[in-house]
Amino acid sequence: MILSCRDIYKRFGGIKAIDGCTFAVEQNKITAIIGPNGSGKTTMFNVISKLVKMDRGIIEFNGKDVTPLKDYEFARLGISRTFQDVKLFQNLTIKEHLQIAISASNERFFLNLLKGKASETMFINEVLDLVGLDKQIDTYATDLSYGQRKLLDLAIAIAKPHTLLMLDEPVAGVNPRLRDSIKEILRELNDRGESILLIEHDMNFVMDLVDHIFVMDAGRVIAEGVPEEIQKNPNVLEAYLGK
Amino acid sequence: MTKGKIFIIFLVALGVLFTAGCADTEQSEEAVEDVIVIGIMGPYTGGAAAYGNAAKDGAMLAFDEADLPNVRVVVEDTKSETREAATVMNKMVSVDNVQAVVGDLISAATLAAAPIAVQNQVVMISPASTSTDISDAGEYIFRTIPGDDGQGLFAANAMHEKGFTNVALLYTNDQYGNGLANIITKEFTALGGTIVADETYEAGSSDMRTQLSKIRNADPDAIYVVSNTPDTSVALLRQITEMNIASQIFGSEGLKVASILELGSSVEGIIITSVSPESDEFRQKYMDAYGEQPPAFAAQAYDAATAIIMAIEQGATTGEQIKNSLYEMEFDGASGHIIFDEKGDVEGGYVLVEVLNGTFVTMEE
Amino acid sequence: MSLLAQSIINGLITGSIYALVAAGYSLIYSTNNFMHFAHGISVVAAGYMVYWLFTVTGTPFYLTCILTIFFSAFFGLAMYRLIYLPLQKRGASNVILLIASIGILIFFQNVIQIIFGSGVKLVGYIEVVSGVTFAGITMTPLQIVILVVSFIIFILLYQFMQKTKLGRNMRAVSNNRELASIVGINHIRVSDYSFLIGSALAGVAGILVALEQNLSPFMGTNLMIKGFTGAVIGGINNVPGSIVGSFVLGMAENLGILVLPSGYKDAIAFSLLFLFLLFKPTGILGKKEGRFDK
Repeated sequence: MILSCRDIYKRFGGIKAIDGCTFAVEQNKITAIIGPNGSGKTTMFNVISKLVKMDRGIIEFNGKDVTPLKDYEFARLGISRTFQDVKLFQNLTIKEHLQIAISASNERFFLNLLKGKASETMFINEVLDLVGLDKQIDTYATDLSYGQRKLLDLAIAIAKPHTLLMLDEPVAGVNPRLRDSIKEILRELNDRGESILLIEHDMNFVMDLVDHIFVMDAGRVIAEGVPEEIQKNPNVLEAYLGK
Repeated sequence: MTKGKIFIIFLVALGVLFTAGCADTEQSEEAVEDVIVIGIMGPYTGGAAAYGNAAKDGAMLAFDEADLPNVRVVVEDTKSETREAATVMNKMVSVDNVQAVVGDLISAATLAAAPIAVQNQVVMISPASTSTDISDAGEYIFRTIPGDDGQGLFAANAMHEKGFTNVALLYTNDQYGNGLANIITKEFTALGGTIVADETYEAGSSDMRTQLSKIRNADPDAIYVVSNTPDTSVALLRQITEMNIASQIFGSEGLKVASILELGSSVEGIIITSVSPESDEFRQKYMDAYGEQPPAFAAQAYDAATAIIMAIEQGATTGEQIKNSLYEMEFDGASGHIIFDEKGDVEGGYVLVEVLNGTFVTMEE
Repeated sequence: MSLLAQSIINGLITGSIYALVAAGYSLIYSTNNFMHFAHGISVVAAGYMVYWLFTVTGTPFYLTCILTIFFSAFFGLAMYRLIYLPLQKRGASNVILLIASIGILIFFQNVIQIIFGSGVKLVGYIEVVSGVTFAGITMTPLQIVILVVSFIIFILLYQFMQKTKLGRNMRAVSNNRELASIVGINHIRVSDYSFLIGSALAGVAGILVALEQNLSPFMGTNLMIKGFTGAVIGGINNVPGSIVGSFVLGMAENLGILVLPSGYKDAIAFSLLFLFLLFKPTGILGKKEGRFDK
């Protein structure tokens, strides 16, 4: 288990956003968390990546308890994460985004000023090729279309040294061609041995891509299993339709 | 809220009640004893702090010497700001119940506080405010320093007598500066001279280079500089030197501070129009008490305090009685012969002080 | 003609002093997104440190400069670690941080007054002599040095912000602190560096201001206002731009009072500040940070 979450609880005031949630992500597999709006999926991501502090629970990464870690410390363990509303730096270029992703994890600021410039650029171009972002690397993030920003978001997650990718709705709002493209990219990454955890709304996207599914509703996991099982599970249908 | 926090708040509340209670009792006890409260107000922080503190020291010297048992002195800082003066006067009148006040120094501050003093029949004696408007500020307003008319007249005459015909003025854009500049302009032109440049700067500025550029361009044979804080005085003189200005420099009272001497040989030869120096006797007393030469306005503040003390010794207990006593008073004080005219002003005398060999030397007539 | 030329030079001289203050302030503001008004006291404290080390205790001038810059850097860091960061951890808004910084400025102004007195202090390392006159304009060697130093700082800051990893991380933190954490940037460490470097620049400013002007405890307020105005004009998130903006301010002030009465100098500064805040808040060089529209 690369990531394991047990009995997570989080409430905001009177709202129980996460109400006893337990799941685990297996190495080298693509795992999805699905569920209706408001079921706590994104909150769960925020709790895992330490942007939100949980009330109680245990989170382990590669078997080690990560509860006391700060947000950037957790990120440096090797987890990349994207956001549902694509978060980028409005004042930086594509190149700068990727430079940060590549090197942020170590704090040796003043060394390596000139060393490895060439290999860095090569790597940046490789990642951009992989995601299919065909734009000048000196373009500012604000000059990109929505789809291109989604790709940049993904590129940053990939460029950052990682062993686990956490993607929050990687195809939300993108056109069908781009959606298929991203599905292919995720498959390719998984083939290379990467572990991926994703949140997704779109059942169809998830069905033929993913190895294991957890269904969340009202802050807890109500069902889990392979896609075929989930499709037939009555509780799942009720959760989606009943809301 | 944790128990610890409640406990701490409870302690703080107790402490506040306790000290407030103590303060109250103190005041009511004193009121019974029929104490006369005298205030000293002036700038002890901010740009004019050096002068304010000098005046405070001079006044306190007089009060300490007299050591009157039924007199209590209250000291308040007006922070070199005009609006603070009104606030301070209000406080001293309503909370401390003062009968007379030594202060303020800055003319604008004195004028701000004056109406409150007059309304409450509190005497004000300023040791340093020279603006001509103060003569008409009311019958409760006095000063132990001569008004600007005096300094302006003296300056215009001095420059004329020394043979300068084209003079430039550089002065602060406030009551004091404008008043002084107006009188000098009027007098100097009446004597046949020309004002070739007229430049102002905001009090508290540190960069007068452009004004000096304009003045240099007009090629005056002398420049009269007005400054009322040590830092602008130093900045001005420094920039005059750095800009290679060859004209003879005359300066107002405020330039006579020890700090300008640190500019070294560059200030040799500048001439300052200064009120007559303090008496040797006072200089010695001040030296003994504070270990240094009395700075500007210390003697005038000493005399202001002395006048109030003398009024009280003659039996005055209220502001009104002190006021009446002052108009009848005459004595030789630390800063000169003190007798208040019908407007509460003193005549005073002026001398020219030159910087020679790194010290201030009074020029002979 | 030479009056115009002299005014331009005066504008450059004034502008360079503002630039020294604005540079460090802008670095700190841009990284941390709150107004560190107490930066003014970093400059003044550095000036007084030069006075105390060089004039009072007789420490050699070069050693004085090195010690002063170190002192300023850590003084700034202390303000961050002891006051701003604890407040931020308690959820303080940027307005509260600004109020705190004004409080720090006032507090230390009074501390300086208590220690050194309110009288003006001169450092006296350079003798006051007439400046060099050429082509109808007069400048002192020190003023030329200050101009050159501000130009060098401009270039260094540009290189730093654009080409180094720390500079890039500062720009990232400045724009989106949360995202920066997600990609593994320790934003508190980045802020530490911003205060260290920005306040070290204040140290440089303090040394030069102490030599060029004279020291008084309350001079920090005015310096900070002018530096802040220069930073706004140049572009509040553009760090090297703050230097350009400061020169624009200096020029506007000095050229402005060729035409207007001299008393209007500060009024010109404030008018420029308001104009830019109202109509071009991103300043001359600031990029209009685009919004992502969905």
